[in-house]
Amino acid sequence: MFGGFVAAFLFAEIISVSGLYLDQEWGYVFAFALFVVLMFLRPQGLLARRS
Amino acid sequence: MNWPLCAIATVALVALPFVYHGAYPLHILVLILIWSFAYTSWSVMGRFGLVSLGHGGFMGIGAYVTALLWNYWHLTPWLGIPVAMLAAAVMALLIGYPCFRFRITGHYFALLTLALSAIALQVITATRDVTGGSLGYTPERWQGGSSLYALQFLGKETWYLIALGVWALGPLILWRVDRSMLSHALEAIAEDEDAAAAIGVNVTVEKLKITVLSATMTGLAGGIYCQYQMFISPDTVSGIAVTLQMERPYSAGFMFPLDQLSAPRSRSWRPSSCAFGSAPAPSAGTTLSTASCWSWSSSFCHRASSVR
Repeated sequence: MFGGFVAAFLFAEIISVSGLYLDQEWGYVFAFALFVVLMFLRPQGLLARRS
Repeated sequence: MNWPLCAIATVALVALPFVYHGAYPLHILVLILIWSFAYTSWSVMGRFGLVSLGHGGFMGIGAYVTALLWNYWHLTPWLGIPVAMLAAAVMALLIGYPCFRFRITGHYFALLTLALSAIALQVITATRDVTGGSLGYTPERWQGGSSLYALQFLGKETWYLIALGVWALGPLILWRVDRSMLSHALEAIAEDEDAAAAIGVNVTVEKLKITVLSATMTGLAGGIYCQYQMFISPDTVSGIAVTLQMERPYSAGFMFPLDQLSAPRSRSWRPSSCAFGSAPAPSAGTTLSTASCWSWSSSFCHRASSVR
C-alpha cells in the first residue's frame, strides 16, 4: 500500500522534473522505462518483500 | 479446404485492379490489405495467450526506420524495410527475453508491452527534430514519385498487388506456424507453463520465437504502410490506439469464430478465455475474415489523412 503511494510520487516527480530540463515527452519515456525496469527488478512491488 | 474456390478467389483478387480502376476503392482495398496483415501479425502470438500491447511500438519502428533510412541515407526501402523488421525484432528480443526469463505473464506482460508502445510513441514525438514529432513525417519523393528503386508508385494498381502479396504472407505464416512443433509447444505453454517445461519445452525460447516473428511481421506492415501512404505520424503507426486496433479483430474473431460454422474443428473454443487466459486458437481464416471486416471501418478512419 505504502509502495503504491511512493511509486505514485516518484513517477509524478520524474515526469514533472524531466519537463523542466527536457521536452515533456521525455518525462513519460523515463517514467515508462522506470516502470519496465521495476517490473523486472521488483515484480513483487517497490517496497514489498519477496515471499 | 476447398482448393477450386481458393483458386477462383485468388484469380479474382489478382485480376481486380486490371478490371476495376477506381482510385478511391482501390486505395481503401490497399489499406484493408495492409492493416489486415498487421492484425494477423498480432494474432500470430495473441492466439497463444500472449497478449501484447506493444505492437504499436513495433509498427512505429517499422514505419519510421524505413522512412528515416531513406531520407537521411537514401537507403532503398528494399533494404530499409528488412532493416526496420530487424529493428522491430531486436526490440521484441529486448523486451521479450527478460519478460519470459522472469516469467512475467498475463496482465503484467500486457502492461510491460503497453509501456513499450507508449515509449515508442513518446520517443517519436520527443525527437521532433529528426522525426517531425506529432506533425508527422514524409519520405522524400524520388524521380517524380514513381520508382521501383524507391518503392514508390503513383498507380494504385501496383500498390494493390504489393499489398495483396504482403497480405497473402499472413495466412501462409499462420499455416506454417500451425503445422510446426512451435505451435504444439506454445499450446502446451498456454495450458500450463510448468507442465510444458517439465516435458522438455524451453518456455523462454519458444515464446521468444513467436514474439520475434510477430514483431518482424508488424515491422513489415509498418514499412509497407509508410511507403504506400508516404506520410506517417506517431498517432497513425504507433501507440496504444494502434495496438488496440490490432487486438480487437482477434477478440472479435474469438467471439464469433466463423470456421466453427463451416467446418467444425476438434478444438473447442471458450469465449470467456479470449483475452488473458490460456486460449485455444481460431484458424487463420477466422482471424483474417474478422480482420478484414474490421479493416473496413479503420480504413475509413484513416482516409482523411491518406487520400492522395
